[in-house]
Amino acid sequence: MFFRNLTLFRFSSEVAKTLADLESVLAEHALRPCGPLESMTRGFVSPFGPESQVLTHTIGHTTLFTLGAEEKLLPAAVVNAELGERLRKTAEQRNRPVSGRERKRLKAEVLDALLPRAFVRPTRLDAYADTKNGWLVLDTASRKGAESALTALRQALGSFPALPLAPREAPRALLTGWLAQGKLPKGLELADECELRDPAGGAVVRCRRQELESSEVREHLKRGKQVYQLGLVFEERLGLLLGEDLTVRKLRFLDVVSDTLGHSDDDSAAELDARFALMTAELERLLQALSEWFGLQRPDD
Amino acid sequence: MTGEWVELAGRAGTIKVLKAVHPRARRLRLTVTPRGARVSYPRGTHPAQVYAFLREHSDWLERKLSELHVPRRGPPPLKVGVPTLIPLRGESIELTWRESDYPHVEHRLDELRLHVPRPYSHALPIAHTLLATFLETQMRRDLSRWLSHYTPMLGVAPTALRMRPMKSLWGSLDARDRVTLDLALALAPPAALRYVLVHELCHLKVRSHSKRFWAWVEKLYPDYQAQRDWLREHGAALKAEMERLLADD
Repeated sequence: MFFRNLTLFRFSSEVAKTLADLESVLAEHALRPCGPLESMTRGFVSPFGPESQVLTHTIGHTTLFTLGAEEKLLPAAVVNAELGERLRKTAEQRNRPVSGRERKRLKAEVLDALLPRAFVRPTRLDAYADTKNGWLVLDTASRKGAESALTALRQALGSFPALPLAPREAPRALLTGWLAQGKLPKGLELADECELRDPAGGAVVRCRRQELESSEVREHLKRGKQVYQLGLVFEERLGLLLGEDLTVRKLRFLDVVSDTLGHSDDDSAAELDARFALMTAELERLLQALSEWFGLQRPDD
Repeated sequence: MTGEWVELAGRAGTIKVLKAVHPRARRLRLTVTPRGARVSYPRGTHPAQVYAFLREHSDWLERKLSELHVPRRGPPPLKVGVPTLIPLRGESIELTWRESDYPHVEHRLDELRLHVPRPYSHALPIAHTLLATFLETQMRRDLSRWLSHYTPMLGVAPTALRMRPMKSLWGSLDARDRVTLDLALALAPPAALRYVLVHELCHLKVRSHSKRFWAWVEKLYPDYQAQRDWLREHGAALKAEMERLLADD
């Protein structure tokens, strides 16, 4: 269950206290199956899988939880085709165009007819809260997905004023400086991937499996392009693609980390426990380093 | 902005108004922003009707232009290699140019050095990008501190904080709780930026400009009125300054 992406939020130690009884709070907002006439339901599920009833898993000051959703797959084109057919028939029967109000009613009828027959797509999003350091870490690179997960958590807790990252240093300028000057903070190395963009003209250059200190990349920087995503290796243990919004993509725990895990395939709960402990320990160092490089302050109490 | 300029005789001199046809307009519309005056009209309107409309409202137009302190002639646009004075955090700083291997900004005590590579034919768009990024950096330094101070007081937080040049607003809060602030605020004194941030954050509590909203603003930032007045008086000049720093010609 190693996270593949990271979207980060920060919260104060006062707010951290509201997470003390997370298990029972989340239980009141557990995921329920999507009803025949519902287009989507959202709620919390067990990080251990569908067989388990436990909604959180805590190790030290970190608590893992999972947001689940069931969403009906009903393409707009299907609805429009059915609606078009009904509109045509109605207009023919009455020998006049269908009014806006009737059209709305017909659309509601179409949805009522099609929703019970639509496929249900289940999704899940893992997240953990680090109450000691005030981090909410979500396993997604999608801003929309992260915001809806945060909204679900806010609804469950009543209030949860977690802040999006507000870095003191502009990440784009810093990342561009790192790549242009080749001077990276201690413990950090360039990987082989980046995305450069011209903020004014909109030109985009994406490099993969590319020596980042090559003259081609330098020429782009010289022409004023800036770094929007940069592939990095942290302490020879984590590989990541860091975005200018400080979203982490393609997070990889390198062999040196994976090797420390034993093989315990027979017990999935113990496996998850071990992996979660290892991951949070590794990420704690990464998040601490991100805070120092970009000036990510924890909200005051 | 596309369209043609028309000149109108006012009491204090000639007024320039941008005339632009609007495809969805249903009537004549005269607006005044810090960028100047603009009249939009439906397609097919007779030019004489537009002139008559402008003449009818020329007194109002003159009054609004003077209220907004729209500069009659804005500062000249940036020129590569030519030093100029620009405002930064409410103080003047000299902007100078240097040749370098890769574009970057060097911020010294009383000087802002733009390092741009040759050929200089590409330097202007690079300089715009550099300046926009630099101003955002300046704003972020203040904002990250204030944001972490104010959000616990409010008990709510925005989902994102963005900075970009805005035409007439100083800031906005959208339906998804994202705060957007005008990049020109980097040129204003930090107190003005702080007020705009507090204003937008208070909209997380109250989505209108009701008394309850202003009570929140006053609670978080008691000196807000002075900053509102400052922005009202100097805002147009600030936006004009921002425009020349980021304009293409």
